[in-house]
Amino acid sequence: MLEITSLIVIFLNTLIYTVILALISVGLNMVLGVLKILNLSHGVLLAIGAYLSVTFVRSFLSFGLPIYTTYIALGLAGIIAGIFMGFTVEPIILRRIYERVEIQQLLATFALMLILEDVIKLIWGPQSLVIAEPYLYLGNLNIGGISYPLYYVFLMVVGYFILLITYIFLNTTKIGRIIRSTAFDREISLALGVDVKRVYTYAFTIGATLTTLGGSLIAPTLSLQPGFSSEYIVLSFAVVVVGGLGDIKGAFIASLVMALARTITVMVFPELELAIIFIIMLLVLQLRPEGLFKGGR
Amino acid sequence: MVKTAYKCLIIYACLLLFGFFATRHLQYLLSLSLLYSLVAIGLVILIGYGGLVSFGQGAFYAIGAYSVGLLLKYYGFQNAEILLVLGVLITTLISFLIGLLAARTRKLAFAMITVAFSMIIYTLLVKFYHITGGTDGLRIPAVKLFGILPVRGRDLFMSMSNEYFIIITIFTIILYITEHVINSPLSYALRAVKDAELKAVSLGISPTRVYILAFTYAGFLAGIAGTLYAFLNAHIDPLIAFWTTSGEFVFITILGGITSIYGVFLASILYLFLKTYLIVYTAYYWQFVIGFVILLLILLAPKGLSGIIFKVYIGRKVFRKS
Amino acid sequence: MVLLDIVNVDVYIGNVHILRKISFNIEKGEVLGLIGPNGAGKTTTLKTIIGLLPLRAGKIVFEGEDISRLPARNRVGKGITYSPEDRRLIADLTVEENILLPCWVSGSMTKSMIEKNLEIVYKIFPEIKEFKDRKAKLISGGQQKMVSIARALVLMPKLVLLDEPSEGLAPIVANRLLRSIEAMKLLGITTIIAESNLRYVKQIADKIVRIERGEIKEVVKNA
Repeated sequence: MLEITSLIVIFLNTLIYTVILALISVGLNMVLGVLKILNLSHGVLLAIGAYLSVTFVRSFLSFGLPIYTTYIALGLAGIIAGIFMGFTVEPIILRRIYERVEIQQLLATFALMLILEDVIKLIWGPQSLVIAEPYLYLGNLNIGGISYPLYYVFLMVVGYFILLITYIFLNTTKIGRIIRSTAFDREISLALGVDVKRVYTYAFTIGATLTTLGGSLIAPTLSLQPGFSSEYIVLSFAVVVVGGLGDIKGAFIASLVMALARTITVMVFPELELAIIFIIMLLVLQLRPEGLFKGGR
Repeated sequence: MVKTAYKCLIIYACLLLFGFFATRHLQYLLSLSLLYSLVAIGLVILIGYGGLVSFGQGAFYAIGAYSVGLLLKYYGFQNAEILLVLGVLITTLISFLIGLLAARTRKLAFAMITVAFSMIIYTLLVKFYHITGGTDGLRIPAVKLFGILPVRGRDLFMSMSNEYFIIITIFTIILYITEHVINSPLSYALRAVKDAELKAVSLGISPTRVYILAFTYAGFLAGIAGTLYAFLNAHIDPLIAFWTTSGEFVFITILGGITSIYGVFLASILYLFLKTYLIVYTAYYWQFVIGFVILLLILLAPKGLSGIIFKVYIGRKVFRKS
Repeated sequence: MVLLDIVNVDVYIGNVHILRKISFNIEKGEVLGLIGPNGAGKTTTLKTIIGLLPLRAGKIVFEGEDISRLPARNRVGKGITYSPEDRRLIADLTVEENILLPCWVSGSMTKSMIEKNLEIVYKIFPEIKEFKDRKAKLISGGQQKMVSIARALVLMPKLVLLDEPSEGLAPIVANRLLRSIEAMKLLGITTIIAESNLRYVKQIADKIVRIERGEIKEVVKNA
């Protein structure tokens, strides 16, 4: 059962699932950590990124552009989707509910989730969409007798790169530190001259873009259907709870733990695939209610 | 006490009247609304009186329904009353156990535990498809209540359907019982804990015990609703355990004013009728409409309204009655 | 010339009336001591000046301009800074990063300006240099106090608001702070010090404003 090839596959699958979960959860945690609001609709950003990628990739191809440009299409779609959502959702909706009671915020973001899911249906229709070109073009790698799609490697490299840049950005740049300061202590940041309103918009946009890029990256690997992100939404919450609310590196580590658990469970006890993540979350909540790490919340 | 009985009798009479004259389809919708209200009433106690937002009532709803389904499938009970009682017992027991787990946590942790539970039940229902029928679900044949009345059919007076009659009767009884729970020491204890936990502890109230009780009762209600749903709908599928269904229950509770039983009653009717007709007319976009309306209402409500907006709208309308 | 003029200001926190029609002013280059017992409203006053709390009535005039409705960040831009009583440093940033934060936020300071200002601040609190690269959460309360004040000074503001600056500081350091405030006067920095310790402030204050239960009881020129 545990030969080298199985181990390698476990290893690779874990890495992939980690990076996708991390792109969603880190994004969610950025919003949670800075804006202090739990955005129930955050997972839909995954779908938005994915669906916009479909449009971009198909346009690129229909303009006769060579296939290797579709990877640029994916990146562009993810970034544009994220920036667009960031600069519309935050000022128009979220900004109005910062002062509200938590239940109202919950309800508002829940409503937003319903709206966005159907907006996707309105724009792209209810049928399933596929863009396999970027996935197929890269072909397969031969790893010890197993045929492994090279696209997954691409996905991982790009995904981890994105996470790395985000980490560097937050920890070494001036703006990054200003964002962290605002997350840590909003009031004193105000008194230091920080334009907290703008920081909120930037933070949300960064968080959103991480997730929309995640969507772009997985789009070529799936048959996209409306509502496919519902599962990821609730998983990302589990990750965030385990990793510590608002803690970004916590979200990453929790993603790793959950991904590992899931990959192993799939091989050993496939029925429990999704359930295991929640079971872990329940365990962590019992032992350490604040999550594995202390976050900004 | 008499006043409550009076109120319930009036409601029962109205429901009966409705059943005599409404079409089968309308009776179905109202029945479903009543079931949703039952779950929401449990949430009124949990959220409104206890301050605990549970996103997991769908799980108990599903456990109730699938208890009936599986008991029928594997043990072939033909007595509806036995299925009902067993289904409710199983659900109540499980909710008690989960309550033990969840009652020590607050706010977000509590919500997450309930979501997790909802999703675990969902995945179990989906993955163990040889037992549960997976995403295809289970068929529930029309067994007989007390050996005489089939749970679905048209054997009663005028055009009242059997399932409707059963549901409104059970609903009214539960309504009466719950009114008493709301006015019992339990609910005061709950509210005391919600408002000032430390003070409540100093008064000798054990928050954990109170929460477990409340949670179990809410599970009990959801279980009743779930078992009845199995009979009403003739078919059950795992989606009722998905966290978004639990979200619907929470939404209805908030819409109805969180602390008002009659409020959630009206709210669930409003929501289900709206949803049904929206789906007919807008097909894929009914979620958009509902979401849009909710958002609009929240954004336009005056800023800094502590408490919940809808409470003013529906709650006031209903509070005038009581 | 009058730098800051507080005119009949009413401040509420929630529904509680904290500041009741308070009025006082401060001239450029002055050191004003805001004296009062705990809960008198000193912190509320400072927070209102910096813009963290809105005023319900009255106005605040700074350099002849009504800043009553101006958001906090613009007030910082105009040259008002604040050092809170409870330090409020950003725990995961280093001490030096904490001090430099206002410079980064301002965006209009050149590298040399920042370095120069930092040097001046380090002259006032040479101790900070020893732990400037340590994370703010790893230093003592008194050290944090120094950093908090340094952070308020680094922009070389026109008006600096110090909330209980002597609290938690070793007497030597507290005295050196007083000397520094005098030196800052020469640099054109005006200071409001909120304190419960009258004796400390009396040493350098030009004006003492006594506040009690949200009301100004007296304004005295100090020898």
